[in-house]
Amino acid sequence: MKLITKISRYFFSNSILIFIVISAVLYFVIEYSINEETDEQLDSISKRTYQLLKSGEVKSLPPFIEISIVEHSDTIREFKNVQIYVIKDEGEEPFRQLTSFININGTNYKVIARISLLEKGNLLLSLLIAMMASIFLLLLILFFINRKVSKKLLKDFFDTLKKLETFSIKSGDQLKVNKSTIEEFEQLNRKLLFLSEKASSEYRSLKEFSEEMNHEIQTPIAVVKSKLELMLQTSDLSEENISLLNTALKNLSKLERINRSILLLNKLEHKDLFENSDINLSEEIKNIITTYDDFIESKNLSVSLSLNEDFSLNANQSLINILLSNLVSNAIKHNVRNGVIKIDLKNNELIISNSGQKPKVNTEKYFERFYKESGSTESVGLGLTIAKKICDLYDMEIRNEFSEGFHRFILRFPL
Amino acid sequence: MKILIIEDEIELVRSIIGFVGSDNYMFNYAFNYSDAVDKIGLYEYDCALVDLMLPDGSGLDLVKKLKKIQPKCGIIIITAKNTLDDKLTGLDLGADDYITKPFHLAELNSRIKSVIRRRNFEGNSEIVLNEVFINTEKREVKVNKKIVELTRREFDILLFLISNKERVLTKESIVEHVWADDSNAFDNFDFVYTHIKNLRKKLIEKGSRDYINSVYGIGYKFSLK
Repeated sequence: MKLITKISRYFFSNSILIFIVISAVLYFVIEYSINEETDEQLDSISKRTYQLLKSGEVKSLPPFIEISIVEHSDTIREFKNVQIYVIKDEGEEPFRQLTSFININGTNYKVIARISLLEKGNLLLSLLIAMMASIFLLLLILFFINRKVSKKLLKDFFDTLKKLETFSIKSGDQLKVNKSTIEEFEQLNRKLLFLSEKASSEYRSLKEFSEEMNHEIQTPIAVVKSKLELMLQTSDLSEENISLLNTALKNLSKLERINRSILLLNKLEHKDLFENSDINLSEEIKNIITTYDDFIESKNLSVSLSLNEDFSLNANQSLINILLSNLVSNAIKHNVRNGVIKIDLKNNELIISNSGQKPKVNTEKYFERFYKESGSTESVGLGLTIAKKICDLYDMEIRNEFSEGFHRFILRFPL
Repeated sequence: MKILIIEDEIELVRSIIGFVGSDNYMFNYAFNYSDAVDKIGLYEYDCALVDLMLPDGSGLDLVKKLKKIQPKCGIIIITAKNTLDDKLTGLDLGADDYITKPFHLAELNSRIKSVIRRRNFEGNSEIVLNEVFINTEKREVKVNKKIVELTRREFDILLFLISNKERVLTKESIVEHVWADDSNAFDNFDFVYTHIKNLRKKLIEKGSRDYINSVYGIGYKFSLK
């Protein structure tokens, strides 16, 4: 729910409540004062009637004044609300009456003075309508003002939101927010700035740490590797010892590959580290296929190339080589025996497809770090992550599809 | 032959000397920049291995110095950094080759030999091992003066084995040398066996002795013994 809706809701529900209470209070106050007024009038009418009775000039004027002669006088004056037929068959009307007794020259008179309450009801009703109309109008006006003003008031807030959306901790740029004249938003901005700076600096130090660690680890790996290889040269090794050395070397080389891949991934964060040149893609692809010919043959794969010879790309040669090598070696590794590799380079699109097993998971997962589909122990699961990163670097789109027994990696180059 | 190793990790220096062997080579080493400057001024070298990251200076400056003082010395840069910029700068400054840590000792050894061959013998790019004769420039192999027709890969394997003769080479190091750096990510190196089988067959057919031995499951060794 929007803030303004929420505020308006609270505002309206409370306004209506207050309005009901005020109306009720007002109703009773006004009714009370009208009654008081009526009673006073009845009193004065009665008094006037007595005077006229004394001079004998008065007659009954039903229903407003009724005079009758009674045997016993009463001292009680009684105010009362009654319903009276003014004209026959027209229904009753409400009246307030004052019954009083007076003794004039030995005759007991009972005087009833009445005032119609019809007007009082009308008055209250119109009062109520007026109130309702004014409160409705007020709310309506407030509603529109709210809507208009909220856009203005929340502008700073939405500005900040937009800045946050585009903010990336990786880019190394500072978060920039506009100053707000509203204290709450300014407070929010200050906190966000603080938070983003802290996050950035922590991210930086973590990154530096990981990069340093990657570098530092290279030398010990190199030493261990050289010692194991030296050990391999000793003449009196048993077959068992050689096999142990072989396993150790294989795993060391895996560690080496993981480390190297992470180094590259870290480096890929910085686009400006790479110098670009025009690269003929079909040349690159053919070179890679030649490099991997024995791997292709040992699985008895058939390769079919359909390459646009003229298509070239402005990018870093080594990175494009890594990208294509990763995709091609992927197509070899995850192929079946006697399978097929098809490479199709059209304008702005490269499709590398290979026959293979149906994927066990969503193919998007292939690009995740350390994802491994098969039980292949040699691959470390970073090749496609690197491929994706390189694509990101050059605004290329990369996706994977599987259909009819074929994996397809589709690369779309920016126009 | 005199080789200078400039590298701050002493254990790596020991491994290199142990592998390359002190029978045919004299080694000198420096663990830091200033030591290296002294050693460069003192002796002449056929080949220098230069680590770019030294505790007290940059190996690139040493490459410059070496080029100036000893233009005949072959230079191989060693670095933990796999950055292309350093590689290019190093090669621009006159380094002959570039190798990234961690490397196979066999790979380094073959590069040292190749650099020394190219630098010191000025055109004399021939290796003779009994009846086997190899011209690395022309990429030509003769056994008893008869040419052996080898494929590109077979020739590369043979040269790599011979550069590291009497040493056990893992299949992985052979694949990385002959095929591609990143090919060790594959888990099937059976084709190395096929190439070596063909190579042996071709050499023996021309009358060579069988010098290439397979070492259990791990790799191969070119042995004259």
